[in-house]
Amino acid sequence: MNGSVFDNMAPNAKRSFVVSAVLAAIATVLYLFCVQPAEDQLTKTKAELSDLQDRQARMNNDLKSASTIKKDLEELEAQLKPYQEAMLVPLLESYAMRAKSILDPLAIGAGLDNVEYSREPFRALPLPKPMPRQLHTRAAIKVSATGSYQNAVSFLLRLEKELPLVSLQQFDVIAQAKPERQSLTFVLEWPAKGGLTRK
Amino acid sequence: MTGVELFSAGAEGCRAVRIVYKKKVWHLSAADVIKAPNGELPTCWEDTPHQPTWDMPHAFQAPHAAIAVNSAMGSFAQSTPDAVVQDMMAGLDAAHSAASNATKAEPGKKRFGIKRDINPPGTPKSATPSADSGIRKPDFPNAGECVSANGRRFVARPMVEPGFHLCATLPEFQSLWLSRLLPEGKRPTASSIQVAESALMASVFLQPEFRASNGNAFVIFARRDAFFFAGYKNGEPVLWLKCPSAGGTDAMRATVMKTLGVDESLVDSILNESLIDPRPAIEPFARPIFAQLELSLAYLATKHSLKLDKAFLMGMGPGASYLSAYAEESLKLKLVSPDTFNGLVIDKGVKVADSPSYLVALGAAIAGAEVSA
Amino acid sequence: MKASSVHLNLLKPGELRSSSPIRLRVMLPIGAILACAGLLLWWGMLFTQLLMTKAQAQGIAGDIAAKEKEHAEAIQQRDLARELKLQLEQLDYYKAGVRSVGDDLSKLAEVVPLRVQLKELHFSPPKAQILQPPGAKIPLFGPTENVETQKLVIAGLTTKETPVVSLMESLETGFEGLITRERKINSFKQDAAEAEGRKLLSFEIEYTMPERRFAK
Repeated sequence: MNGSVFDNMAPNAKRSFVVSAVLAAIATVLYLFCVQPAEDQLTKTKAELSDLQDRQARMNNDLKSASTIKKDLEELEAQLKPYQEAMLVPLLESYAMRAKSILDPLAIGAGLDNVEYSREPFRALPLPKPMPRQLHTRAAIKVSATGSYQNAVSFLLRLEKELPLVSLQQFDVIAQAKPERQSLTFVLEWPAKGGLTRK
Repeated sequence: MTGVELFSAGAEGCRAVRIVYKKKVWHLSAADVIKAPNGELPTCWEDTPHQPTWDMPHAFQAPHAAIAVNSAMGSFAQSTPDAVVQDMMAGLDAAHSAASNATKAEPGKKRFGIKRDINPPGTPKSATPSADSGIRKPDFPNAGECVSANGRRFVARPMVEPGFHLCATLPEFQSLWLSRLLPEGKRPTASSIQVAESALMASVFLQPEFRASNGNAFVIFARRDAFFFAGYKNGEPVLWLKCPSAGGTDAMRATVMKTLGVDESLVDSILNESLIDPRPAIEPFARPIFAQLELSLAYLATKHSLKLDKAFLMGMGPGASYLSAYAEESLKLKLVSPDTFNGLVIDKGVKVADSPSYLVALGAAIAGAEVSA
Repeated sequence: MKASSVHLNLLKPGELRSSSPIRLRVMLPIGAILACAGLLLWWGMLFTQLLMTKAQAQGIAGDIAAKEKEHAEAIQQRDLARELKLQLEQLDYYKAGVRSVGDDLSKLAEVVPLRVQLKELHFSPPKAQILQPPGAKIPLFGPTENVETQKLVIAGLTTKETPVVSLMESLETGFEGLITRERKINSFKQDAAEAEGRKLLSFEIEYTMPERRFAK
């Protein structure tokens, strides 16, 4: 629209055009400074609300299953108890001395002499998936003694009865000049705490 | 197109017609007297703020309306460019005399409404400042172009004879008032404002006899205040003249009442029936009319080679037969009075009483529809 | 006969009016007003929605804050339960691999024929665990295999083969916890030792022990 067209318009048409232009400007301002920012803010707030709702739902789900989890936890702890009781825990940082404290009564009872204890390399256990934080390992202790084969078997039988979770990794009987003084070597395995997979 | 006549003297309401062009024929789809607008035609600028709007009845809600107005301050005359320009310079004061400027007879002289040219035809129409007054001389308007000058509006149209124009004028405030009468956004809206006399000129264009004569005709228009003579050659206007020294049909009726000593209520029956012969009363009234008629016919025959043995008498109503008889006797001229709506197909349901009174309305509609002869 | 019309029109073109109720100079302002009103209404609706959404969000945030502690405990419990379950699983692997051979070893002494003198009985050491395969940047936390196989070697002296055969026949049944049917005679030869005036024969039999499977 050029000036001459506007000049040639009838007065009421000019008035109408000016009023329309002013109202259109107001409408534009309203849209740019009121409606659009409000829309943006609403979108943002809706997104926040959605996140909060998700979080609340998850929280409620977790809380709903809390009693079940508590029961599971008790069961697990009950199942773990025999292992925890059987676990080899170092005595003054010595696994061998702990083993000695446990096995000496059995060894003496079985008639073994010159019982000596030493630590053997521990062996790792296979990993469950996913990995637990706290790993367990096969703590190996070598027990050397002298005695007869019957003494050795007696010792093993007592061991299996008293400590069912202790396993015989290796067994060595070497005949000596006297049958009651065979060279006996046992490598026994205990469950023990291993390393941490994560902090 | 709707045609309507406003502010007809002594008439209740306004005559209105609606014509429709259907299947190559003009139809009359409505004709009636409708309620006039609330308000009077303003006579000065101060009256124009009181602007009524006028809602037309449904039957007349054509897309457009042509308004023919009877205004004492308007004029329609045959004139020359110089006379028109002088008129344009005269201002509003000339409004009252504008209608008579071109037609007033000089004492002793019979004139055909033609003012003597101060400048011969063909004078350039450029605006030159008047040497006397220093006022800029307005330009003569182009044919059909409406211009405003000194508080009045002018529109002119050339006639057959070079140098002569038909010119209509109205005060500016009356034109504005009329242009705003019909409201916007509703049917009809005003597409034409005409002076009532100018509307008359087109009112015969659909008459079969007029068309049969190839647009060569002489028409007498009878109005309440005057008689008008119009000459046409091949459908183009060659003469427009207000009959001097004679009144209109009101004057004729007054003469009959006075001469025969009868009441107003009996005049129509006297003029329509033959119980009492009104000729002695009509004759003195008609004599100047027919004298002028004779002169006009002679003018047409000599100036425009139009030899006519018949003329139309339009808008007469009661008394037309007596005038026809008088014309036959005195001038050997056949005077025919066809029905106003001859040439139109009257639509079903349209009933018209007193059809001559619709002549101006019909003429306005025909002119507004730009129907040519 | 075609003449022009006799129409002297005193109405100027600019004064022509439109009969259509739909006029631009009316509809434009109306449209603009409606647009402004519509925008105001829209803004009002957005504002109301915003307030409602914020109120809702605040309510939920409050609820979350109130349950935060309880939730943290529940999560802790859940994580602990997961951890313990995994530890239990690994310990179950251990338990699955426990070897109990006391009874079999006890029965072994009874099936040794008179003419056989056992000199040695030992389990071969299990294969070393490879916890850092070639190319690995960090050691593994656990072995790549969960099965261990060892051999039981029985070495002794005898006078002739039949006692050894008898021993082997005796070991074929009833010692499934100690040995499998897979055996190998590593050696059967004359020994330097003598008894009752004749040279003794030495033998060494290697039995594959049942594999230890550290798995559920």
